Amino acid sequence: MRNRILLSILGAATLLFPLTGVAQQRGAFGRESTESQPDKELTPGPGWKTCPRCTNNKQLAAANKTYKVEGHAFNPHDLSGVWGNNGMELDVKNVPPFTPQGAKMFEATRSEIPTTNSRDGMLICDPLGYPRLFAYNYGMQFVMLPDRVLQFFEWGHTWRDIWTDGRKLPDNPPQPRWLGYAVGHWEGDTLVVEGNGYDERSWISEDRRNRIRGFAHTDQMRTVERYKRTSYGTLEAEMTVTDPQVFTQPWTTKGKIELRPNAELWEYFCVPSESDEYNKRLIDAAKTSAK
Amino acid sequence: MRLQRLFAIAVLATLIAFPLALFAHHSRAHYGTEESTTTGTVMEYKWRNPHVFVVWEVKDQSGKQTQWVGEMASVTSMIADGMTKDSLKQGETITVISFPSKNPGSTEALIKKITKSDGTVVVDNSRAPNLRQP
Repeated sequence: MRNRILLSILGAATLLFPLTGVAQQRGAFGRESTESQPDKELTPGPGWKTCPRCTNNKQLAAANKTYKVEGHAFNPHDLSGVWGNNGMELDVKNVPPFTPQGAKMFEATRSEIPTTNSRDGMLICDPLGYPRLFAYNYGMQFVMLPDRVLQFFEWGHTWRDIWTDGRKLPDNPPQPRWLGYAVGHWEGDTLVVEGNGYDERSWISEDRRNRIRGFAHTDQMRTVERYKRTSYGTLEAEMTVTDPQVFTQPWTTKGKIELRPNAELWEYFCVPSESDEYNKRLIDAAKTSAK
Repeated sequence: MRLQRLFAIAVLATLIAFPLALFAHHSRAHYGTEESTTTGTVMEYKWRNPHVFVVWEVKDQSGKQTQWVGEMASVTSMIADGMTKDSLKQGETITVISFPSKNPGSTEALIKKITKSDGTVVVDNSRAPNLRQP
């Protein structure tokens, strides 16, 4: 009997594993090397740069040589530049245990269909909010000013003010904001950014394990980011999300974000009329097929 | 014995559920795994976000015409893959390799490769190793 069970398990695994492989081989648009990718990047013209997400891997490798990124001198207190082309994904392998309320909130984000998250405000162009814009942004740019650091995002073509003029976070912000309130200070060569006052309608991130849920939060959520430029082309980043009403522990993600020396931010607006047409012609078809 | 059976069922259910979860990764679970190759005429080319798409009309042997909608990715991702706003024009003949939706009767597909009648490759993700969505 035991052998029969083992054989059944092995048989099922053999049948199912190749299907997983096939599923993962489809649709790597703009990411990995493909047959039609050009060697030369597309720009609007002489003197203009390409966009972070317009750059394929071989173009980025060439740009790193052209702009002499390796070994380039840098000031660790100057984080200026265009960083990454997709944000830094939150570490979903390290999600802390939910509180009972957090578990309910997470479950309430569950999609009605298995193919995409039908409850995701992004589908109707709601702002992504923060820290979702940290995790998903199509490219991010820091601009250093005497009293603040500006953090621009290509997704939504919007920005966040990180105040470095000595002010403190508000204890009881008068209005929750999609991007919250943020203040920053230096600890050695690390820019530490604290944030609060976030609008509950945003998600911390979608759950990219299967994209059928999102990580919800309350207005008690606080974030702490740590940015350290360890070379001209590398930004070490750490994001810690704390929301005692949702998680029993802080949720920390660590990673590195690469400089995009050949890029400047273009624009990605979520346009309601465009999304509506896309949803009707492609997402609604997925809904039908899921029923 | 009954416990062993229950255990086996639980393990099998996990094995079945896990790959299905990966299929659902990035909103493309409704597309099948079988490639389809069709030749037809470009009716629309939408160089738009959130995803670029092309509509092409295919005539079968009985003369029946079907319009397919083929999904790609965001404008900037498609630029990285070599496409531009001028890559396709209405009326052009194209050959499309795609993954059609699993929904019976559906005419939506995920694009893999588009070639023009003169042999020009418009986009080709044949070498792309993993599934991504913008």
